[in-house]
Amino acid sequence: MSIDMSQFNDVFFEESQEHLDEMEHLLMDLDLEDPDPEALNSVFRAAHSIKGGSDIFGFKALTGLTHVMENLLDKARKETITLSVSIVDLFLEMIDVLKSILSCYRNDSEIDWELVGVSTRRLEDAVKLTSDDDVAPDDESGFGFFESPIIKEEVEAFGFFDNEENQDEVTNAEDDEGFGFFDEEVEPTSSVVAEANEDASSTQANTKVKAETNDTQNTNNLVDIKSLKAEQTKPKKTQKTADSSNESSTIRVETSKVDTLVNLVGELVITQSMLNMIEEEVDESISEKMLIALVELERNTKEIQEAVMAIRMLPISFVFNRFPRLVRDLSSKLNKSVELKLEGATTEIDKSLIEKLADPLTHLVRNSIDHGIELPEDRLKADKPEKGSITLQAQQKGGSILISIIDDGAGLNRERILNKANENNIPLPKNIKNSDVWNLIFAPGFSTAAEVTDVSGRGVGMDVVKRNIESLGGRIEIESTASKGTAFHIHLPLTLAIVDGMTVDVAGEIFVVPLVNIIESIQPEQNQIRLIKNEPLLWVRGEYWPIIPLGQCLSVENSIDDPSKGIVVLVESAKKRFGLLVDDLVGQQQVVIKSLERHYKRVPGVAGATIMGDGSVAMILDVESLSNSVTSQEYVQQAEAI
Amino acid sequence: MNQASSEIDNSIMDGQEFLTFILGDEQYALDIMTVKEIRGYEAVTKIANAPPFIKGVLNLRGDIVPIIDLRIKFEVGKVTYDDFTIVIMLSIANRVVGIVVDGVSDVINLSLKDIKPPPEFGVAFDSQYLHGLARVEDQMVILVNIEALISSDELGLYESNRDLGVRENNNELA
Repeated sequence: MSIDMSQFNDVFFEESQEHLDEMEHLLMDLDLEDPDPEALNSVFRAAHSIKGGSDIFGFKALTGLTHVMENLLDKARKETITLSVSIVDLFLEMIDVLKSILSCYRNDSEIDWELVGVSTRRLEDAVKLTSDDDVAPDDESGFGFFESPIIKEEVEAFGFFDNEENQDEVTNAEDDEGFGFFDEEVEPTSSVVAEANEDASSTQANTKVKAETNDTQNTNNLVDIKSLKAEQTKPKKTQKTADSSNESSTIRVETSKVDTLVNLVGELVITQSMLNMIEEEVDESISEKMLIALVELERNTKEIQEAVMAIRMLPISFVFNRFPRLVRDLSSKLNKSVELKLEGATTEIDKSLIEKLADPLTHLVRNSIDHGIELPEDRLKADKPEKGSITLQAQQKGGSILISIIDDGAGLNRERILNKANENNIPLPKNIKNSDVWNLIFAPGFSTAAEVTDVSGRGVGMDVVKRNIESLGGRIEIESTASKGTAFHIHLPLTLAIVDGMTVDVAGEIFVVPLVNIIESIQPEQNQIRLIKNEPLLWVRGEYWPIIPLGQCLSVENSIDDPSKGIVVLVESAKKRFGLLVDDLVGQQQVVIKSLERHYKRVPGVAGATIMGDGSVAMILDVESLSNSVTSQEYVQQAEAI
Repeated sequence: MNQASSEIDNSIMDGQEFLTFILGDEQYALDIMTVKEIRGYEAVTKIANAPPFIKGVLNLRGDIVPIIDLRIKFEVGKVTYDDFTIVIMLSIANRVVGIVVDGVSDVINLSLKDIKPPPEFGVAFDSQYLHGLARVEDQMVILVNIEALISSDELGLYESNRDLGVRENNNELA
């Protein structure tokens, strides 16, 4: 009987990735003075899970490396070695190696065996170095310490061994409950058999067990049991391990299932608004009853919708957590001293956004360290603290999420950017504003780094960052002050699926304006309107607003073009504020965003489409791209001067 | 014979089924496997600044689907919309698009020997969008390579250098 193991590969990859992330996270948080034994245990368990899993699935490169790593970790957690920065660094490097091996397996690409070999040797050296001053572990723990020959004989009966060349302990192990702790120092390949048995037999200690290793789930359970037992044998440390069971409160669900749910709720919202429309037509006798039911339904729909959206929401720490490591590595590589501050890491954000945020954010943080933060001596000269600081900040602002990457470095160099723009033949207006200069760095192929390093400078990054953010329906802004620092602000929609909108009418066609952009709607008086160079401006409470006639903009015929006859919706985009002239307001409602690009292509001025209660399609306006047709910002200033 | 069939687009298989439809006075046919459904013409929502032959989009069970009128694009027949105007919903490369036609008539089964290479001129469509010609019951049927036509830059339905990855992602969000 053979079971196709490959069907479990994905689960294994997913879990191993999580284990590696967890290990990295725990190691980063480790206090070297007083290491938390439970944290070390968790690291050990994670390494062990990967070892066990990879062995079963035949990913030998992972098995070999994690095996040696486990030896070292085991010593660390038993406090037979003292952790030092160099050992933690070694572990972190090994985690990187494991990650790359993992992705090789995942992508079916060639394994760099040389790297594996070198890494394994480095770890083995570390083990040897530390094993000299190895103290015999406490007897009360009941662990056995066997040499490899013994394992080969006993492995069928025993689960857990830890042979550390300490033969005196043999009797001790045989006296105990029947499980020992073996950690063979044999070569990874020959340990395979022992490993497979080890996982299985640990469940029932002394009894002979057949290898039940045909299922990852099974393996995981076994691993858990194993670690539990390991804890039982160490009564001194159990009090800190009580929280190991909290994983059971979550379940792993495929994203596609959640997406289906979100889509269905979207349909429900549409049906809901359909019913609302029908309600207006029903006979008076049942109208009231129906209205009550509808209000109830509406509330339920809204609650379901919020609950479903909440499933997709994850704290942004999922992205942020990778940065302490990145900053640590990169700053030491560049001989810079950088402190990373994370703020608002619990802010929740749509899962699909999380996945796509990682790359742009990584790029921005790398840029800040490489280009933004100066070398310590330069900082001291500039009267700044030696240690630079980078702040990653997330906060919810109304219906959107604001993520900022703020550094206290040198700031963007206006001259250098302008020179580079000239080199690249980018046409520049006279007296270009700082904010426009900063935006130049988003041009493709634009890099002002003096030389190309492996960190940055190839100029492929910023335009990709901008594109990535825009593809998420967001926008990015730069603030920069010379020698004070630079801040990148990324605005993202809270969710990509449903938006609160105001429906407006333009010559019989319905459009949806996202509520987040709307400031207010007014019916202007004739005397509030002023024409400057034939561009209408609207005077509202001491401010001039440029007006975009929506009908003209979207080529709708027969729309009202006299602002005093229609309604002006005052909206706000990233940097511009303007008024949209429409014929009439229809109402406010939640709409489900449907992609136009699914079956068609991107339409300028339109963010997507939605389905109205009557089944017809309405376009959702993209205020951001509509604002591009506002040219009259200067006129506003002129008008204010008048 | 052999030579003739070698000039025919080799994407056609022997015994393939085609749906015939009418544009103006001509009989056309397209690969039936691309047809998702056939329905009557109904009101669409206009797309801002789109060319006239792109009529707009409609809601096909939750999907926003563009509708194009080949009669306008290729200037064949009279452009009228009445109860008999038909929309053929096509599913091509995972995308759905509707084409407005004057009518659908039949499903025909063609073997390779029935198909002649397309003429260079005399047909509204450029020959690169044609598989060939076939004679069915004394009538000439023009076999349209509908996949080539729909995804052509000439129609401009899709962004030509679009990043597939991005599109997939957008699907998830739709």
